[in-house]
Amino acid sequence: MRGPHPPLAPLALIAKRDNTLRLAAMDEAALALGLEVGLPLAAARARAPELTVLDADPAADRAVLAAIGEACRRYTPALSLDPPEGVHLDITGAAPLFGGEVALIADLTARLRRQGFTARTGVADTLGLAWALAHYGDPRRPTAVEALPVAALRLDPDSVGVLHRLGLRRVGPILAMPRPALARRLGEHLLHRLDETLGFRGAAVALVPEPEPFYVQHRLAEPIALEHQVLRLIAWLAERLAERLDRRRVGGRTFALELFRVDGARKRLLVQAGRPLRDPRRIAALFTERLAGLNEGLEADFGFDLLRLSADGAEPIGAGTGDLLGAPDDGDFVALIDRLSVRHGPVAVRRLAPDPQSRIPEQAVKTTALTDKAADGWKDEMPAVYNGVLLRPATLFAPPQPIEAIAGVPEDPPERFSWRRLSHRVVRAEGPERIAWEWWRGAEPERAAEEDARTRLSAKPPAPANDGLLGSLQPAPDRAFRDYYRVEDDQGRRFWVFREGAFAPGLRPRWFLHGLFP
Amino acid sequence: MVADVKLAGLRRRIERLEAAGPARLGEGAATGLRLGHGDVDRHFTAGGLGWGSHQLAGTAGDGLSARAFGLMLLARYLAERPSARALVVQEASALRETGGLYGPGLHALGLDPGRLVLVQTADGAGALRAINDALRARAPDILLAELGDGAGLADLSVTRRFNLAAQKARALVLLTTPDLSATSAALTRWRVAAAPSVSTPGDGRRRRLGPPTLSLDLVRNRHGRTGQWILQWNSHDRAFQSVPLQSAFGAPSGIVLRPLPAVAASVAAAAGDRAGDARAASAARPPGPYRQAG
Repeated sequence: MRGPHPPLAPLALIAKRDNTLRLAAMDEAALALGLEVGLPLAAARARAPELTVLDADPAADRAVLAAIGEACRRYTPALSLDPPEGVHLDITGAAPLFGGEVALIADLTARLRRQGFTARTGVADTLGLAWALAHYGDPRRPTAVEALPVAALRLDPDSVGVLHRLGLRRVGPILAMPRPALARRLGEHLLHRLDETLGFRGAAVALVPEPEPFYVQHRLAEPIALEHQVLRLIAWLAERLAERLDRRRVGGRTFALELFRVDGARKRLLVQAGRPLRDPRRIAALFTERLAGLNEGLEADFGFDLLRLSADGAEPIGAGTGDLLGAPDDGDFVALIDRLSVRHGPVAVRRLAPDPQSRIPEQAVKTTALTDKAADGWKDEMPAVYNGVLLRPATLFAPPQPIEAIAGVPEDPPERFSWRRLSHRVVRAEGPERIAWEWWRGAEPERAAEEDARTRLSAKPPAPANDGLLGSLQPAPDRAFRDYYRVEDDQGRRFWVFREGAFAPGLRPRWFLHGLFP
Repeated sequence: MVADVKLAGLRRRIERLEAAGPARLGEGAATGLRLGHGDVDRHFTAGGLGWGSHQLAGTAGDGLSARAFGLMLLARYLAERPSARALVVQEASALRETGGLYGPGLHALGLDPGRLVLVQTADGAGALRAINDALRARAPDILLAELGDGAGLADLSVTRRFNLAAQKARALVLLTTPDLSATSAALTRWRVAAAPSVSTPGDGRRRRLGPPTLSLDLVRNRHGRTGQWILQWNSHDRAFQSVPLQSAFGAPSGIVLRPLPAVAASVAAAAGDRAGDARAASAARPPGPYRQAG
């Protein structure tokens, strides 16, 4: 548990159990007052009025535990979590790298202590035994299995209660008992736990998967904090990583740089490439760009003592040719795109792809990733042009902009309209072109427009309906279709406007400007 | 595979060399992205827009025309060079002002929208930096930058920088700006406005729209003379053409000169239309391109 260090006040976390607020966790000071987990809050207050009480937050505990686990990856990739408070590390073969098991544990606890965590550790040949030692062992001297309390076998409280009633408080007497008798009294479960602890039976472990199969890391004797040092190390790591990728003839699409700070914090930076990449200079260049774009800087504080570079999404190099980025002889272009994507965000670098399925104007085109082959589909589309006249505008507003229009009835184009406080007199017009919403696809056009608006940078919030009270009394207009008109004003400017729904007497039609023609 | 790489690489080099052609003798600036209109192209000593930056400025309340002019140039360039790379850098404020590029509309202009790589930047500085990065990487062959609020940042030193980088990379940089207010070292500076379109006569009551029409005012030209034109865009040939007959001289006209034998029919139709014209023209201010150009 992380708390004020040194403790300023006895602190306890409370959670509701059995309809009562009970202590769920506490610090050492509270323990020293004789409080214990499970005590009702009222009783705890009576015993220790100075107790500071906070609500328990299991989700945050879980997140902290995961973070601790990830920080422990510096020792081994084989990690599993044992909520609420346990982290299991398989250090088989890894301990000698850190100067042996004792040195590794000392390093681990020292790092955790610096972060304000208290840790109990246990190292053993089996997970069960290590757990038992961590929870019930005496850290100062070696503990024999036989001397451990029965709860060290990871049993449920009921089984422990039964054992206690039988007078069995230590593991030793249990080991001496005939197994069939134990199984009859307490079920196979106890024997399983016993065997797991002693190594007669393998225990299943749910490892937290480490996503990056390709990684290289470098441990530094002296921590580094300056950006140019970090960059140089990145370049060196990129070369090592490229060798590994090269051996498997693959390239990575996503690269992660993990910077382990001396105090145990970990910073993780991600960059993405447009297509599988293994050129070390380009990998390093992407990180240079990424570091340059960091708002908060490197946050090196006391420096980093471990850097790890990993590649994810490994794909054979040369795959995906034929897309925009796949054409040969375009190393520069792909590198540029990657750079721009890193700086402005991958969503900012897009292509336009046709959606031949849709007739709704705003859905007839979608922005898509550069590698999406759909963007090559324009060749199969008929250009929307008739006799040299464009039928579709060069730019589109999302969402459509509400305008005030004066139009004849029932289906004349507007005579004049005002948009952005400028009045336009229409001298040429064509239409209407009726576009109905695609009932078979579900979404109404306007709703689609609003959704579209949320996802686009250029969107302005939709204007509030100006109908007021009157609007609420009127019947809702029929939004099932739009009548589009191409109009030109007396200045030669051309617009794409539409009226929503059919003309109905007594109902003021709503007009929108949707796009601009050159 | 290897042969493909080599072949495509060589093709690109040849395309670039051919495009550069005579320019290598001169100061390295000129080439020919021609507008496809004889008179306009004669204004350029090298026959067209040269490697470097070009500024396409809009007029008050009309930012779209400049963007559209840039897109038309892009369409010409990409049609001439099938393996050329195009990058469109868009400042968010420019998109707010005149909307996002619309694929079907670009396609109708004669441009393959799929060949454009769009880069959206939050502000003008980001857009200029993206252009700079692109030019330094010598990656794209043509760049269209749609600037909005940040257009003022593209000043003398920035555009000079773009010129040098673009000449080195043999690239065209088209900067669209809301106006011409900022100083600029661009090789050409254009003021672009919408112009009334000219179409076949309508049903008399209301006239139809014609092809895209722009009023172009070339206010500065490092490699030739300045000039003013009103041109139509031909999406099919991807070329600019003169606007048929009168409309360049004033009132929007519905009359079109067409090489048709049915003279009588078209005259009759035109006469019917002219009556409507007079009504419209008396109410309308004379269209502005020439006045604005002054």
